[in-house]
Amino acid sequence: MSQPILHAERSPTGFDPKWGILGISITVVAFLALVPLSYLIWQSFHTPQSAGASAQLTLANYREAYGGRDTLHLLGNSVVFATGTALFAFTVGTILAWMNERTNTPFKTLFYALSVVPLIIPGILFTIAWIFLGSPKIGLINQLLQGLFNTDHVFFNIYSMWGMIWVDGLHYSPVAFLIMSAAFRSMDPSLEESALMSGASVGQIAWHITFKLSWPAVFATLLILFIRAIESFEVPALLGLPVGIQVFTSAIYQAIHQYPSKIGLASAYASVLLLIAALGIYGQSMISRRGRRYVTVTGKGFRPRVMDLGRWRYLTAAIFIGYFALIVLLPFLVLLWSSFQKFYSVPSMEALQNMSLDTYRFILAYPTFAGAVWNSLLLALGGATIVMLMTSVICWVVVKSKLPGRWLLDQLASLPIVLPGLVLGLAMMVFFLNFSVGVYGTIWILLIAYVTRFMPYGMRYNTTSMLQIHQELEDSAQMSGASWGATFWRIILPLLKPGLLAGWIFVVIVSMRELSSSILLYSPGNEVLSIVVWELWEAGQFVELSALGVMFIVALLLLVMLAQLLGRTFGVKEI
Amino acid sequence: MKRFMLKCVAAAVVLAGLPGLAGAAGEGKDGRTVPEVATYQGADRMARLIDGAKKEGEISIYYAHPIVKTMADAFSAKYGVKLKLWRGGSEAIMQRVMAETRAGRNDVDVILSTSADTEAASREKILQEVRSAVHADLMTGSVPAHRQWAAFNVDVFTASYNTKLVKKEDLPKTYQDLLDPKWKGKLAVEANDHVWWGAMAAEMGEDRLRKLFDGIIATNGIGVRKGHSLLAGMVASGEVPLALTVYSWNPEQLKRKGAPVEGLYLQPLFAYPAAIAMMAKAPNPNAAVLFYEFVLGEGQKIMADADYGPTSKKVDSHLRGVQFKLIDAVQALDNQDKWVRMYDEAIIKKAK
Repeated sequence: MSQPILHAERSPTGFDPKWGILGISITVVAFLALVPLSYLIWQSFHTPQSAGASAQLTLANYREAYGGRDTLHLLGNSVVFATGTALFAFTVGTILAWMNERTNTPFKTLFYALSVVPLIIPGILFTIAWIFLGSPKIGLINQLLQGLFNTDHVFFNIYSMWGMIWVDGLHYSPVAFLIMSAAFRSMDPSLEESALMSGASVGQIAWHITFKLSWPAVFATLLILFIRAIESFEVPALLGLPVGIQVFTSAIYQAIHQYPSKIGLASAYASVLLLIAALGIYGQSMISRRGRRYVTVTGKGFRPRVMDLGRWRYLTAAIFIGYFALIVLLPFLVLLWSSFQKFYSVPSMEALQNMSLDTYRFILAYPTFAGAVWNSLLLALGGATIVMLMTSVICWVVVKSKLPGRWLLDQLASLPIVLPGLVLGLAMMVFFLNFSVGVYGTIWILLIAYVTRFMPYGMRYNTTSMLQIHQELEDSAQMSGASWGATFWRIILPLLKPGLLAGWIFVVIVSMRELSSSILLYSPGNEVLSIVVWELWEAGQFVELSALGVMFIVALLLLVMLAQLLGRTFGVKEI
Repeated sequence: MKRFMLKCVAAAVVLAGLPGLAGAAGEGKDGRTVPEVATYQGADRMARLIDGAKKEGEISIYYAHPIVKTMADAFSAKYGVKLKLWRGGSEAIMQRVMAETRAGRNDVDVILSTSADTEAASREKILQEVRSAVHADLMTGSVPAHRQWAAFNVDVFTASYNTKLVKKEDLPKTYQDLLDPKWKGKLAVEANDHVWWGAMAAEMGEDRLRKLFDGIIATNGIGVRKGHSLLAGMVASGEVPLALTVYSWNPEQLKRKGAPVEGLYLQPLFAYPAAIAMMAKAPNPNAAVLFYEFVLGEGQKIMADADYGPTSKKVDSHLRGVQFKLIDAVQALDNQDKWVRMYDEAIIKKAK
């Protein structure tokens, strides 16, 4: 029964703390979303402000953005790229998640942490590593195959649309992996078992039961992957630009990197992304409305049981190992190799003799390094925790309550996903400069920006898990006299744990890497790691950057493993 | 009631804008105004600056070039002034400075960015003219008539080649030589060098330049890379045998690390100046002017030692004896849209 449960039973004091928590969460989300969104929309209808001219109301930005055929062409490229990336990342991530959560593949616990490695490597480094692997001229893969077959045929050209999809898809496959494993973890095995009894094959079960029950997660994953790819800049700039493939974000980039900055034009471009995202989120809310079909966590207890693959488990183990050797280890080894060099050179005996640990010494002695690590850790851990807890409340309102206007709340909390980072940074900056509450110039403004930027991801991760929880669990807690707060804290949150943890890991990682808003908002003494990465990149210090990347991967890997361990030890036991 | 509310809102808006006006007559800690400090030319100028800077005790600098950090450290060691450094891309510097100024927050003393961006800042009336004897030491064209900024570094657009892949005797001597099919698949430029293209077009004529590069691209194709450091790094790794638009200091710095690269000066050569400027409402005007002096004086040697392009005629660098023209900041700023479009049409869209 899904009863409206917003008719509060009052506590003896006459005030239900539920309203306090809901009120605060909704206000904060609305504030965080409305500041940058209204800034973007306002800007898109105004001319640039300068000493000679104040901002005028205009439609010229939209005319310039959508008047010509160029934009359509760029948008076309973007859609092809984003669709390809989303499908590829989804396929890779989902297969890994399924093997990890629903099968008895050997060593799988080890693979959970390894699966997120591609996401940990900073985007530019991951792309550069793939250039060194897949470039037609110096790519190691090509050189190896050419040597093997004694030919100069180019086997793999990273500078192409397929190369872009390959690199970006691999980079973001962990997003799919994280969401889908959360969904698979809360799967009721009795459904799979009944299918097995009725004689269905493993493939049939995976497709007809497991996959179809995860439809909300599938949709959320594809939505996130698509939108993120369409607003991504690094891979298209490094792999597409060299061969004349331009995407939509290059237009936004060009508009911002001029003076006077055409923030209005950039905003007009971004508004089409806003529209796409709004449609996607609307689509998901339609699915949520039929949410009961996807409920898997009910009052009936079930034991977590995975499918016995029999001899096939050696095949899945082989896929795992192959994937990690090719996709995770190979780029990592390229980084490791270049981190021992003075400048990047193709592996050879000569280069072998030039190896040194100078780059690591350089990074450790970098003046802002220690402070940046500390700040980034604080921001990433704090931001991720706030995002996940806050969006869990918002998700409850959106998915479980019958509060009027909850669709709007869903849109508000999700739309910042398409804001160009620099526009978001500018909006925050202008707001806190004019409402001087002591936030500007401190680390708090970064925290606020991160929470805004990653709140939409928290929404998607939590919605997915929330949809799987049956109403009856909440109802029985209430019938037994539990307050809303106790129900939320002791029933909802623990049941959300798979999604919460997956989302938390994701937000921690992407916060560590956030650059485009940070670069405007950081101030002396509040440096973050991504600023150090950017400085090294700008100065052409790739080998030093590789050393930093290697340290990054090792540290975050340990962090993810720790989070995984804690997630298993604390909280409620797996039902 | 509604009108009363409206009035309140209006009043709040006006009040929010006030701090911007309040700081107009900014004074340093020694009681002198910013213009007084910046334009004073008495014999005791340096002594007063040093004295004032000590009293101020700190300086806030926004900068784009990594070498500024080295100069600032030397400055701090010499004068005991505490540093507040903020580094960002040139467009981020402009965004931050403009937003802060409009909100009446005057945190920064000195900015160092591209000359076109600094010229834009000058048009926004947020910079302070500085009168200094050190200007006379700089190459011609380093200081505009309004003296609101001065060039402290030049980024000379040069070619660079991989010495393992390109033999010295095969090197092109002019741009025409690049029409030779032996360069097929070997050439690349940087993605945002519209300033270089604009300067070349002004020198050679738009049509002639376009025709030349149409020919080069038709025969040999051209790759595009984002960022000069990346492009230079790609030359070192062998990915790009001959790059046409790196900065002259890129190959010099890579050579020091033992990379197989050399710079190649194909005429006409153009240099994009980077500028230092003092803020009109600098909170530490003495330290600001003192740093300005330092960067254009002693700092020039630091830049030359790190293979950058000092503008001081008194300092020797890798650019000694190389003929190049300075790109005019006003031209670069006013023609920005046009140059971006030209470069886009001629190069970026045809990359392959």
